Amino acid sequence: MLRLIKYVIVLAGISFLISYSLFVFLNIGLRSQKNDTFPVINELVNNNENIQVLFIGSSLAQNNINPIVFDSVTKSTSYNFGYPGAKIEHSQMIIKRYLNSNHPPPQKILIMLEPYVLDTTLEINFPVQYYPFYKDTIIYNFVSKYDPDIKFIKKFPFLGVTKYNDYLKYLGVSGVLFPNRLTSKLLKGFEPLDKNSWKENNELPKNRTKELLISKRKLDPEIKRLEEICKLCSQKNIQLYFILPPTYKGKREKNYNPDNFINDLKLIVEKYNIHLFDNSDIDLCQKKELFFDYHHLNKKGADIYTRILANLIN
Amino acid sequence: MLFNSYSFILFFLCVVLLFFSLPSRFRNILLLAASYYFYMQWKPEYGLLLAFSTIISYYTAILISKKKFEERKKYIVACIFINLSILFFFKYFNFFNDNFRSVFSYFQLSYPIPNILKIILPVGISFYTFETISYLLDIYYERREPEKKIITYAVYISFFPKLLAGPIEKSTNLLVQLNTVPEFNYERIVEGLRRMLWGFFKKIVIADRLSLMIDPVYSLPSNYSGVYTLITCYLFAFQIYCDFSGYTDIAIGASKILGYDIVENFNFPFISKNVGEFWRRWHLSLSNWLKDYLFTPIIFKRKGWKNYALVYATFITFLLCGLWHGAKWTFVTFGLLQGIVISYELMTKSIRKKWASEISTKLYNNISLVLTFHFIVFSFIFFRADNMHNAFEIINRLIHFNFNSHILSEFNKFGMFSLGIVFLTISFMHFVERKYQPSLVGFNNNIKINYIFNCITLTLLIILGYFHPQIFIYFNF
Repeated sequence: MLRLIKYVIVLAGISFLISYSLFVFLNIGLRSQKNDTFPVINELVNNNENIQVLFIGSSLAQNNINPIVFDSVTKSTSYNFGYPGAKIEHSQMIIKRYLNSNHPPPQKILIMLEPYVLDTTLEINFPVQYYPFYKDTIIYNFVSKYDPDIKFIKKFPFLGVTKYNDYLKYLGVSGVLFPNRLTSKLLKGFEPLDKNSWKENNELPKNRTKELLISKRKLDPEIKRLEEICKLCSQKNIQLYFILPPTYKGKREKNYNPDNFINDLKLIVEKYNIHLFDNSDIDLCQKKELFFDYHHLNKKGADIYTRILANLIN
Repeated sequence: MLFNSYSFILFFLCVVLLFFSLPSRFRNILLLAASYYFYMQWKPEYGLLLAFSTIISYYTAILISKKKFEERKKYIVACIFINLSILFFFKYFNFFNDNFRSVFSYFQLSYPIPNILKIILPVGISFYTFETISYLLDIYYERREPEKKIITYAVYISFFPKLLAGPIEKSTNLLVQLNTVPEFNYERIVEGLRRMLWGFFKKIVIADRLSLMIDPVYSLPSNYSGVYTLITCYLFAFQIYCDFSGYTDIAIGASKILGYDIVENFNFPFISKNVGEFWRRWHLSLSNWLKDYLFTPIIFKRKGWKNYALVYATFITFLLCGLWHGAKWTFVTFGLLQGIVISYELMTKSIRKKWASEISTKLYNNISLVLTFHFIVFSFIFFRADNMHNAFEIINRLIHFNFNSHILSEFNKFGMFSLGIVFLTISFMHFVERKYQPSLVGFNNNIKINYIFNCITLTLLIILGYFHPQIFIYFNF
């Protein structure tokens, strides 16, 4: 029996050591990757530059605001921390993590809001992108709420590589072996969308969590988080802006009960003296050629809208 | 509970520890309880079905052993009929009903029998039904005495390593061993662990990775180019081999750890030089079952037909072989294709021997090997396709072998990376199995190589495994 136990321990020990080494290797590669939103998380964790203006939110931030255009108008330094499918809690995590760095806090934070960001039933989009950063406490605490697999990785890092699919392994290997060949689609976190991808049949999403915003009780935690963000920003003297981004012809998802949402926002805005810009039905919203779909601007639309926003903020 | 899940590993560990801690008289009770627990994880009520089939065949066997040969027939026929009826009801009722309805509606006649909604196929039913039948026939033909202890017989039918997808065990092998007391044996356990590890490697590293490439093509073949479709057709042959032989390796390894030897199911099927040989190397336990209990009795019954008896028996055997895999026309076609080609092989045996002597035997063998492999790959299209429409769509893609701009997006950098892993792991598997036999017995005598091999396999499993448990393909049968 002892002989068998010894055999298993030696076998597992060697394999786990090799697997752990590979996990570390892949994480190094992934952290330097330029694909997907790795550069955004990397910027958040490493803070390579002192950022004065932060854009935060879901894909509505990521695809609608071009920091390069914004910087050219306002003569400031900005970065887009938008993350596809991000909710309020996600935005809260990003602000907390950014403020945890050695840089001085940003002067302004712009949060792109829409009723959808209050939906807490959906999971984080592609949480595996956070795995290479699992040692970061703030990121870990946030991701572990939605994705228990990261807890597994923290407990058994030698099995961490089992959570990476071929795509991530490919990115990890290429990140280490060919760092000079890495190119990013992202421009300071901004992901430009193809101008020709508008589909005639593109409709507003239907039947998406109908009951969510109708139930006020379920809404409360997210509104509470929004209030926490307001308090934090006020403590750090950061000017906070709530932005309702453009939607094609001003159409919002009815399922999310936008009226309730805007009423809630107005209450917070008054309470904490925050700027609220409702850009959901401005002039450019009538121009189909500026949109990728109902909610996302294409590159041209994003550049025009960023200019409008920059002038508003200035 | 899937073999490729953490819960199975924990379950198996507990069973092994308890098995060797308990006095020998309790071991079969433990195995029975463990097997039913394992089986009832799928759908608890199907455990009753398994128990019913076991009890009825156990008592029938005892009954017929006490009767004279002439009186036995009615009992065995009744018992086989009941077992096959259960199989028919769960597996084939809706299929035949649908087809009868189509025929009636073609002739504009009303058809009153509705389909039974939502029949969930009890996992492993085809396997344990065949084992039950083989046991009854062995008793009927007095090849063995009926098992006296119902617990032992119930373990033989429900033994968890082979319950869900075989190998189909004959009573002359496993049942005999269940009456012995296995000792704790270090070498045997290490051998079993190695075999299980190898099975996990084939399933999790190769088969599950391949399914990511193959499944989308078979669900929507019209979205893919001819080149990509062709590659997935080849890859499917390796997926099904790694999936099924991987399962078998785990089953054999788990049994070995517990002290039992169950039969091998594969013997390098893709080096077969004709389709008949392929079936002597692929899913051996099913092939042997069909040969012993269907093919040979038909030949014996129709011996007056001479060569035509062979063709007739081949057709019937492979038609049923196709249907055994599932109640779909795709499986019927798969079986018939095998039947047609094997009949051709039987009828042209002497002519082909003459051809082989006229050209170089080596060349003839190589050509035969390539042709056989390609036929198997082709027939697997029907085996894998969800329906006949998709199967023909795939064949259509292969005929109009297009190499368009799509191919670039189909083979992006990441796809090539995955394909590279597939190529390397299949090559590794081929090298290991050729050098050390599919059963890996070649490792037994060399402790160092054994250690290194297990380390490499476990590391590759962790590094390259696709850890999103996917069901074994043969669980559907």
